[in-house]
Amino acid sequence: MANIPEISTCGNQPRWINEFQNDQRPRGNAGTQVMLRSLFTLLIKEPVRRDGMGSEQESAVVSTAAPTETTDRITTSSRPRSVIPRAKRLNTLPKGRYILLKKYEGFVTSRGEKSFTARLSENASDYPVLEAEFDLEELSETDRSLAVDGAALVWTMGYRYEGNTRKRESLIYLRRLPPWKDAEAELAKKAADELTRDILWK
Amino acid sequence: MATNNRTPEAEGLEVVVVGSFNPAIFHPEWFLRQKLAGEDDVKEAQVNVVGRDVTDIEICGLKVVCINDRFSLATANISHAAKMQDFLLHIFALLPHTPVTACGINSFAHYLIGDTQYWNKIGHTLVPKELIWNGLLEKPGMQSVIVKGLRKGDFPGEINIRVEPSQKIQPGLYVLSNYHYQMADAAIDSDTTEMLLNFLKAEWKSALEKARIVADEILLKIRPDDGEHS
Repeated sequence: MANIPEISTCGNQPRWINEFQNDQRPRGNAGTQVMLRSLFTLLIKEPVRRDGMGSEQESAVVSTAAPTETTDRITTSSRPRSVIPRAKRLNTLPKGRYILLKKYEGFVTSRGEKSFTARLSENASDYPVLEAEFDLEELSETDRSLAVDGAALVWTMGYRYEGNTRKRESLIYLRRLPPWKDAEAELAKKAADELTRDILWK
Repeated sequence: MATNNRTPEAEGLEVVVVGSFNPAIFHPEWFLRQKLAGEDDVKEAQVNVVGRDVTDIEICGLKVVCINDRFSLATANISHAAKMQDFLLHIFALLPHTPVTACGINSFAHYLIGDTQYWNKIGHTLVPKELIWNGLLEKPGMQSVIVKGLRKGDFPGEINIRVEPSQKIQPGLYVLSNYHYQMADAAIDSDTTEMLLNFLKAEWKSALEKARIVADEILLKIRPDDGEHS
């Protein structure tokens, strides 16, 4: 079995139990592939009422950040409670299935009142590149304000599965890249200058 | 007739960062405040756990799981890969003093093989049974093969490739690529998040394509016998 750090049980602390299925980690590897397809079981020593051990209480203990009636009870010593370990299974991979058919990346070249134009390519080396006009309505409301000149965007097409139903899906979203640092901008400028200098104009 | 460069029947991505984290901060509201998600994304976010020791939420099609020494971001929808990179670059740019010791970019793909004979041939070719296994086991079959290689360049490390029968597509092939980057011991006290960000920028595209490249190579080099349909 893979060796995952175990959080010790102490008071109301959770404890991880390893249940890796078909997910052995190579020796010597610090285990960055260990979370993939792996299942964790979290044991929580959960104070519960003797007369009611519903699932609502369980989720209240583990899923709320704000103090609740249930979490308050953990620190209250006035009324002794039973402490029963509950197992909650966590999977690091979300469910679902998607078949990617096409993926374009590019940037916005112009924006109008109701539409915007983008230059797109499948690979950075593609030439000529694709130029496409999209209605702003194709974007989610929050993304519309991001569609400005130069903004990076992604356009994918594929099949998404919902149970046994397969849906053709076209997805457009604006990237939310962190702003460039001065050093990065300087490096890019340098690279562009070198490229320009090396082009033999005729 | 077999074709190469097939389209995977399912594809996903997970990034695991090993270090020291505070799981409690990764609440959907935090992503909203940092402008990584919109209000609708937060309303639709699924919160399983947010707490001092563990966080498990789904937001913007990405699953965020964090325990004290491990942070992972995953999606089973590969069209969200660019979004995942944006999340990672933002998160660790916003938390520049997070001690990070290792990172892995894991891409995986499932392929439909279709023909059981061809599927068996792939397993027998990757793990020949004649020399050892036939004499030791009844009907030996390949369950998992892991091949480790080195990655050179500015971010040297390991590439671990795992090939297995697919549990999702049957009969199918599952390929996982792990781009593992271990921070040098000497670097632990320095700016490890900066190194992580540079690693995520430099190796992202290559790491994303690796599972597909490996699968293409397997399906190109191991051909179905005549009469088999791939």
